[in-house]
Amino acid sequence: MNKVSILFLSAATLLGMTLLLYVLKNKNTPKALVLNHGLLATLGLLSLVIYAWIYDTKLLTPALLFLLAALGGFLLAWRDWLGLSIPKWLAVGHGFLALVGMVLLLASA
Amino acid sequence: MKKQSVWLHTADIQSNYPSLKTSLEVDILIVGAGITGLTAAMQLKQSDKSIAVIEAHTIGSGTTGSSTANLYVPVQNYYHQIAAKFNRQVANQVAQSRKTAIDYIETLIRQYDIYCSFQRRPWYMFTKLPENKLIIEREFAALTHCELPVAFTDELPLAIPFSRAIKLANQARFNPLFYLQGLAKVLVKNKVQLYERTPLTSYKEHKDYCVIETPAAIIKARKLLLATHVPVGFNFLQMKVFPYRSYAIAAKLSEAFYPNGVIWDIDNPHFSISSHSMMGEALDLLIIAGNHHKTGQAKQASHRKQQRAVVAYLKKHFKVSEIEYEWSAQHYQPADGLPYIGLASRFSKNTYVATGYAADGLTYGTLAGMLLADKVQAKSNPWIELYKTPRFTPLASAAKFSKENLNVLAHYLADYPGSVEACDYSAIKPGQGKILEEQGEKWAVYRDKNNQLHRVSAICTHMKCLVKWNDAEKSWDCPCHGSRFTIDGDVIEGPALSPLKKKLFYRGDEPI
Repeated sequence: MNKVSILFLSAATLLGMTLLLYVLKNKNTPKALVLNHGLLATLGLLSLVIYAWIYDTKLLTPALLFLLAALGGFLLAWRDWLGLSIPKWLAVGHGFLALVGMVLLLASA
Repeated sequence: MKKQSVWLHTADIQSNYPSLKTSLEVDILIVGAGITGLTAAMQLKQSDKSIAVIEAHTIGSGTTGSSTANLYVPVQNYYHQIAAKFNRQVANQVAQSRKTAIDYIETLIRQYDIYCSFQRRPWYMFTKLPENKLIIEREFAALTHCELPVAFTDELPLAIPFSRAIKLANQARFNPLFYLQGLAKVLVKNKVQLYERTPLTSYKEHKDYCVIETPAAIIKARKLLLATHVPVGFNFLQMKVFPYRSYAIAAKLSEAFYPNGVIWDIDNPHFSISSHSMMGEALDLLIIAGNHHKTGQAKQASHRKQQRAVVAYLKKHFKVSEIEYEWSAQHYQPADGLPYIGLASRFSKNTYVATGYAADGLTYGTLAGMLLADKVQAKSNPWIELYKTPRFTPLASAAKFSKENLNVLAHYLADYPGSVEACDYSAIKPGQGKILEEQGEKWAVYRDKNNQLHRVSAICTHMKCLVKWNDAEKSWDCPCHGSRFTIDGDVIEGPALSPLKKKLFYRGDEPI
C-alpha cells in the first residue's frame, strides 16, 4: 500500500509542478490537470494515512505535511474556479509542503 | 430575414430610460427588467419602500424579448411527471399558481390599458407516433386532476396528421415587449426608478443591506432581487439549473389561415407551433420553436444545423411565403422539475433569486415576480413554500442533477494542454470561430467576413470552463453554466459578470 501511495503522490507531484508553472506565469490552469492532480493527491493521501495508521506510524509525519498541503490545494482550487487571484506564495507554499512530505515519505519507505 | 425576435424588432427597444450615473440608496433593488423583475416591481410599487430597477441592456431585451409570447398553464416538464416526482397535490398547486399568473397578466393589461395584443386562445398537445400516445393520455389525466378543462380532440387547427391530441381552452398570447414597456410606464409614474444600460458588475450581501456595483455607480439596498434569469456570479443553484438553447423562426404563410393557438408536437425533437400578430390583433405570423440542446453543445454537427432543422419542420408542414425572423433563446431546466424562487442561498437574508423556468418562462417569470414581492414584504402566499430555494429534493432531482453535473465535469476534463480546434490562424476560415493555444493559453478566435481576427480568452470568466463557438449566433457559449459572450468577449447573458479577456493583434507596437 505504501508503494501505491508513493505512485499516486509522485504522479500528483508531476502534475502539480506543471500547474505551478502556469500559476507563476499568470496563466489559466488547464482544468483537466487540476482535477487529475486533485484526484491523484487525494488517493495518494488516503492510502498513505491508512497505511501509516495501521502499519507504520512514523509515516504520519509526511502524511500530516501532505494533509496541510491538501488544505492549501483546496483553497487554491476554490480561488482559481471562482476567478479570484491566486496568491503565488500560497501556490509555492503548497508545493513546498508536498515536496518535503514526498522527501520524508521516500526516506522512510 | 431578420436575425432577432419579432418582438424585439417590432417594439421600439431604443433606450427610453437613463443609465445610472450617480450612487444610490434604496430599500429594494431589482436587477433585470424582464418579466420577473418588472412584475415584482409592479407588486412592490404600492408599498412605502423606495424601489429601483436596473437593466444591463434595455427593457425586455433578454430572454423575455426572445420568447415565443405564449401564456399557458401546461409545462414542459409535464404534470404527470411532476406528480410522479412529488405528488398530485404539488402538480395541482403548480397548475393553480400558473393559472393565477396568467390571470394576473390579464388583470394588469385591463387595469392599465396596456396595448399588447393579449388574446385568450387554446393550447393543444399532439403526437404523430403511437408510442407517444401514453404521454398524451397521462398528461390528460394529470391536467384533469388539476381541475383544468382539458379534453381529447379529433381536430387540430393545422394539417399535420396525428394519432392523439388534447386541447385546453382559455390560454393566451400577447406581445411581451409591449407588455413590459406598458408596465415600465406605470412603474415610473409610481416613482419606481428605472435605469437601462446599467449592468451589475458585482454585489455583496452584508448583515442588513447589500452593496451592488455598476460601472458608474454603487447602490446600497436593503433587499436585492436578482431577476436575471439565472443567478449572476457564483451560486450553488447553478448546479441545479441547466442551460439549454432552442431555436425559433417566424414566417408568413402563403395562405391567409393561421392556426389560432399554441400547439405542442411532443415527438422528438419537440416543436411548439403558434400564431401571432406582428402589430394589431389579426394573426399574420407563424412561429415554430424547438429543437433545443444544451448551451454550447449542439447535438447536430453545428448550431446552424440545429436551427435549419426548425426551418425544415416549418417547410414540411406549412406553405411558407417568407421566413421573416430567426432567433434563439436560452432556458434553464431545473433539477427537480420546478423553478427555484426565493433566497439566493442558505446564508442569504436579503438577496433573492428566481430561476429554472424551463421553456415556460413568461408564466413562471410572472409568478416568480409575484412570489418574490410577497417574500420580500414577508406576506403570506400559498406557493412560496412550493418553489422555495434552497430546497432539498434528492429523489426528484438525483437523475437530472447527476447527468448534468457529470456533463459539466466532462467539459472541465476536456481542458488539457493541447486540446485545441486549430493549430494556427490559417486554419480559421472567414465566418469560423475556433479555439487555439498560444504559449500555454487557450484563445477563442473568430475570423469575420472581412478577414479580421477577433481574439479573446477561451476561458469563461464565470467558472473557468472552455467556451464553444456558436455558428448560428456568432457567439462564444459556455457549455457548463450557459454564459454567452460576443466575438469581442462582452457578456451577452448568463451568470458571468466579466467579459472574456481580449488580446489584440499588434503590428510592431501598434494594435491592429
